[in-house]
Amino acid sequence: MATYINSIASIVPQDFTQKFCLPQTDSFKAIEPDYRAFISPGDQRRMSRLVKMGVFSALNCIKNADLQQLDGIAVGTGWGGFDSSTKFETALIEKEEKMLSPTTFIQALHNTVAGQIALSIKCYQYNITYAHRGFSFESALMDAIMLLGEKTETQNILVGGIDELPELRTEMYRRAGYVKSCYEQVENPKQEAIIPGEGSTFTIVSSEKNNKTLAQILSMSLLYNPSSQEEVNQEIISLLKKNGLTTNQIDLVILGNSGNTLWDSKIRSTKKSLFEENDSIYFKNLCGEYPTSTAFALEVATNYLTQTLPISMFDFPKKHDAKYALIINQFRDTNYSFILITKS
Amino acid sequence: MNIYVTGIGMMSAIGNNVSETLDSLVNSRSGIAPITILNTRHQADFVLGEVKMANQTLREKVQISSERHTTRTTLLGLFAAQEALSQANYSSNDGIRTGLISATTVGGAGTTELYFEDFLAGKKTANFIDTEDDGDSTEYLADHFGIKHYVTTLNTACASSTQAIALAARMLKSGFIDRVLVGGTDAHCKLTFNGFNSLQLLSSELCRPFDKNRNGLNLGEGAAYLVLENEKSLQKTNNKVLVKLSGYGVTNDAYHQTSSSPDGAGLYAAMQNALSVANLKAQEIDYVNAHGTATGNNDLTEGWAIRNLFGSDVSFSSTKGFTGHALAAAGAIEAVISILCLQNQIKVPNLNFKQSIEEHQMKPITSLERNVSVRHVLSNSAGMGGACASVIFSLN
Repeated sequence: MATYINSIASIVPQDFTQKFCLPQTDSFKAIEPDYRAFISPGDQRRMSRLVKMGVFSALNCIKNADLQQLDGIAVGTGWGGFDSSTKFETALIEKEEKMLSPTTFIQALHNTVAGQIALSIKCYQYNITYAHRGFSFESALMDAIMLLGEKTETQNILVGGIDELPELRTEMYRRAGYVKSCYEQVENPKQEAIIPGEGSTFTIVSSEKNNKTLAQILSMSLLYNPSSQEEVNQEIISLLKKNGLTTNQIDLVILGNSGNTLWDSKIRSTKKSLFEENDSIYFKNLCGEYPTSTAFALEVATNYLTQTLPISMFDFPKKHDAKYALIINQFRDTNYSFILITKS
Repeated sequence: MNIYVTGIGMMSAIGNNVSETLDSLVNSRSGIAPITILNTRHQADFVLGEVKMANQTLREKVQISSERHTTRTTLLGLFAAQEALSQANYSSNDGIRTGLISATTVGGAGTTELYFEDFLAGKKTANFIDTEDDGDSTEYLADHFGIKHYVTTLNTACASSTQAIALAARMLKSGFIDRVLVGGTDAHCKLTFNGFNSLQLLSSELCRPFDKNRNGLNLGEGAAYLVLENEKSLQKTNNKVLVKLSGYGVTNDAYHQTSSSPDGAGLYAAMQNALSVANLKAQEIDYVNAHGTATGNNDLTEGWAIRNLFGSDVSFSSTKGFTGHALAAAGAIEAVISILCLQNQIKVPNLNFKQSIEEHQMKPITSLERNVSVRHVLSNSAGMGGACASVIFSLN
């Protein structure tokens, strides 16, 4: 069963219709829209920032696909409702466990985003939320691909990757020594540290190609906690082989180096040993590191294949006949994922 | 394609393993008791289903050699997972593609809150950021047992581990993996306890599922895991089949963030989908293990959904009166209880029930039924955010 990407919409640290920019500080923050386009002021007051970002990008994505209804919703979030949960925890300490308002507790639930999307469009179908670090978005996407294969009729599944970076999380990462003390690009790091980021990216995957189709997902695979760099290379080669491809046929490699010298050691060697000659983009220079950043990479891949990547200070490769893009991501050297995408 | 259950493991307020659980069930012994482990200012005001062992004791019992930090969520999970895997004669190097699908809502939040106040005050604390999330306990289990072909965590509130079981079945059918450790683990923490209290959903007494005068739920904690195998794996392991996982359904109620639709439409659809996957008629289900939290809204709406699908004479009960509501672990805990009903040809009672809810007049099983024919059991879970899921287990 073919898997088509029929729509994609996001609230991320970059504007895909403009020029890509560098981060201003030691973290990447999403560029937020005027939420009124999809969410009434009343509903906005009841929603956390995370839920607003998720619902807005989901509804925007559904609209771009010209759909009224979905056959399922699969969301991935590594950090979930962290902001709300720490707000509730703070109130709990301050008020000594008395007279607490339930609002931030409800918003702290990981599946509030997927639940609110279902509620917004009255979607009674399959609804799931994955909360597994650098596999959160990947698990959701894999689930959606599996759903497409389970039925013969056309299905449209909404798949999202969403993570929010509240100041408190950045502060925790800073104190744990995970945040870079000065800016450096992810491909040439000196520090054992990252620049954290955030984003919400939703896509419609469908078993049907139509005039909205942007690209096609050929294959994906996940690798948990590889013990050697060889294991990573093997997984990539076998993924390509399954699709009758070799490394030199990949027009663009979209790499998830995080900027942490330690975590990036395998992915750096993979680039060197398998894709030395290929064009590549280091996408975390644009969005920072967060568990569902692969969703951001998927939009980069789609835009590359449809030749709509914005201008950037990074010298982005451009090819008129580009056919294949491969996303290689790693999260903390534990969650590795590979997604092979082609022009539709 | 058949999906086989070849191992079960469980730890909760009614027992540290499956045989203790069965003993509590057949003796109508509830695990709900005054609070002794959870450190809350409300210790005297409520009752809970607690695993009556402090973290240090759990750590010693499970014999961890690693220095890596273990949260209570992880520790409970290790116990139940170990039991399920040993029954299924699991080995990490028998060449069978194995996955771990685990559910949790609390994750490492219980550890985070130990240090949170000091953190806010700018004091130096132990590093809790590496274990605060939902993926932490799953990865600990995966590494401990050497599982690596598919590792993921899901969190759909109180429907989590029933959804996990449904996902596991689909994964085995797709052939992406051939064997899976699936379930859920959740430990008590102040965050969830106070969250449910702020929603005014907690009862200060023993909960009374499906009773007219029910006044809220008792939280529980624990973990339960199943080992599921497809034909390909079973041919290699030659394991004894406990029961089959024959059906599953996952839907959304899309009615309200924290309450279910008046007739439980989401759960009704989930149960119907599960029957259709299992190719069974409603009247072939011998027992329904209901979600039955003992909140006003759940038992009214779920009661309608069950009545509308199975009629008013259906054999059903909620076992939350035994274990308390263990959130993301609840579905897997009730899956193990459902499997015990099939294996032992029993139907377990709904504790503390006196009078039916006026609107739907549904009457659950109130005392243990032995030597009854139990061939197919359906188990429900529902959660905030409209999450609904049902699974069906059948005799092989």
